[in-house]
Amino acid sequence: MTRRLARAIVASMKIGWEIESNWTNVPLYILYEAVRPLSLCILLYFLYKVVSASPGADPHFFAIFIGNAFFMIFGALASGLSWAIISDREHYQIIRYVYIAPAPFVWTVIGRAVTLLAVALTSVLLTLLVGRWPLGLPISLGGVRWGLLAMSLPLGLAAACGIGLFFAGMLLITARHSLLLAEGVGGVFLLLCGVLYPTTYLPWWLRPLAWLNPLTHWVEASRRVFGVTGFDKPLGALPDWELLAILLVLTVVYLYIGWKSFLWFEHRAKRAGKIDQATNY
Amino acid sequence: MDFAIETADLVRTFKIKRGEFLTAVDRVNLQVKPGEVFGLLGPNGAGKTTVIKILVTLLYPTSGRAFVAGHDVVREAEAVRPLINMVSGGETSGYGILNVRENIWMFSQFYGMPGKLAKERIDRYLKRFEMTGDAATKVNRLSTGMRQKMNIIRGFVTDPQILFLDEPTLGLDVHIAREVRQYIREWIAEKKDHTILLTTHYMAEAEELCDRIAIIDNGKLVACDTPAALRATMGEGGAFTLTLSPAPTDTTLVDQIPDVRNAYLAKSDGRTTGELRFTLNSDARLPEIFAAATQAGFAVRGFSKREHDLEDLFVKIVGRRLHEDE
Ligand SMILES: Nc1ncnc2c1ncn2[C@@H]1O[C@H](COP(=O)(O)OP(=O)(O)OP(=O)(O)O)[C@@H](O)[C@H]1O
Ligand SMILES: [Mg+2]
Repeated sequence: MTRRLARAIVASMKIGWEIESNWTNVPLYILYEAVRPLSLCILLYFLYKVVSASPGADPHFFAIFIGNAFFMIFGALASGLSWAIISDREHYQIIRYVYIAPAPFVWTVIGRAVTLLAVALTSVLLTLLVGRWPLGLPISLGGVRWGLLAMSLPLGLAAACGIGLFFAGMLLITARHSLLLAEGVGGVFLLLCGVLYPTTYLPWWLRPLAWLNPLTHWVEASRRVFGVTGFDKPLGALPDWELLAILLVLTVVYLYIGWKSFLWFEHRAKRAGKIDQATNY
Repeated sequence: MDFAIETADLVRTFKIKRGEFLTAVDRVNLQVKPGEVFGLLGPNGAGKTTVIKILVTLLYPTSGRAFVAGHDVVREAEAVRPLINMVSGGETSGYGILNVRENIWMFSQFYGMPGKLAKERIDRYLKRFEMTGDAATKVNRLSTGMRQKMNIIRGFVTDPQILFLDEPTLGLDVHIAREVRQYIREWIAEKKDHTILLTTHYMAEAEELCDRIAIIDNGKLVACDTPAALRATMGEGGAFTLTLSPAPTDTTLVDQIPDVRNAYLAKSDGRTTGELRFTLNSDARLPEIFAAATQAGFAVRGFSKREHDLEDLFVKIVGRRLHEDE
């Protein structure tokens, strides 16, 4: 069974790869993925320049830069999951055949998103390079806390996957335009998870939502990987192991909820006859 | 005995508006034996595709149960899936940016087929369907017919124990349609215990391929038997055409004769002759009809008889023709 599943996932990854690399040129696509976070960073860079002589040396700017760079992984993974469903259903009209195949549907969808994840990781690297040289941020290979990265990155991916699965599942019972909804939610998370400003800037009633979100802790952990601390006071007060423990617990919860919701939406779609129903307007 | 496909009081309703429901499948009971080619025949909207969707685990029934290879399609979908495959005709699905071979290969992988076996089978099928030359062609450059052929290969390549073909020849040109039917016959002859459930609009296709046929109308099964037995229920007799001169203006001539049904005037050529068509269950009434024609002042210029076929049976059971435009 595991071998069969592995075959199916590899095949979905291949489809994902072929689709992405065929309709765009890959280096261009990586650049495209990086453009949004990069342009946001450059905008912030100049905003910071107004108040501070050298933003490159400003720890706040560095913190925002790192958060922004890593957050794009979440965007890519979440939209990749949704896109796998939309494209198979609307564009290639092949979802019914994928669906009735023995490989569990949720895994073929995840396999498809992996490509976008690979692209996103490359875009993160690109963004970090831009941060290092033109912007002069204190990024160096020697300064990276690799051990922390190795623990936090997989957790962040898993959490992003859980959230992405929730919205991808929702697409199974709704029309194509709800892809916009999924994108919009990505924007909301950007504002909620302490990427551009510390969570303490949020109104008090939103803060628990931010703190109960694994992405918030993942962004904090990613900053620590580059030696940035103290950007977010309450989160910054946590020792590494405590931060990781909270991240782990929240990730497990989010992944579980995302996974189960996907299956639940799938079940609903099957009851309503919507699995293979393309949006016809 | 375990049936390849079995349904028990299968019902599927769809909500179309608030408070408005449509019963697409209405208490359908099917029993298909392993090794059979079983045909579901019915007009547009009869519920054929809906039955297939339920059987291939794409849709839940509203009530009733369905089993494929003895497994409940709702509760044991995972057990059903490795054993089945499906092809729907008349659609142009496929990963357009992948080529033909890659498309089929992807699906072989979704079924967990070992690479070597998949490659061998794909080659064999491409050859069988004369598509070897198109193996490297991107699917979005293929003609509709070729895409459908690829789709059919996709269905066969996993060697399903039970194959669902939803109007497999819909929209194909005569030549390719014949090739596909030919292959279906070969396949089922070669693999004795494999089963096919096929839906079609074409009576001739059903007769040619199917061991048994079920006629479905408005979601209900209205007849189910072998083609020969179904035809036998029509009795002797057939559809008659009488060419008369001068052209008759109505059907009163035959209306008075008992046993005559479905009498109508066909187009007359010019003014001199006209065709009167009707069906009769027994040839015994013919002398009476000839006599009546002469008596009414018509000269019989031509006469032809067509034996009853399943098309007529369909009209008899369902009350209208299978294709409205005929
Ligand atoms: N998802 C759905 N939502 C609402 N109604 C549906 C849905 N799917 C099918 N129907 C309706 O159910 C009825 C049966 O449809 P079905 O597709 O099974 O017919 P069919 O026999 O396959 O027809 P055709 O020969 O045109 O393919 C139709 O009236 C159709 O409009
Ligand atoms: Mg149909």
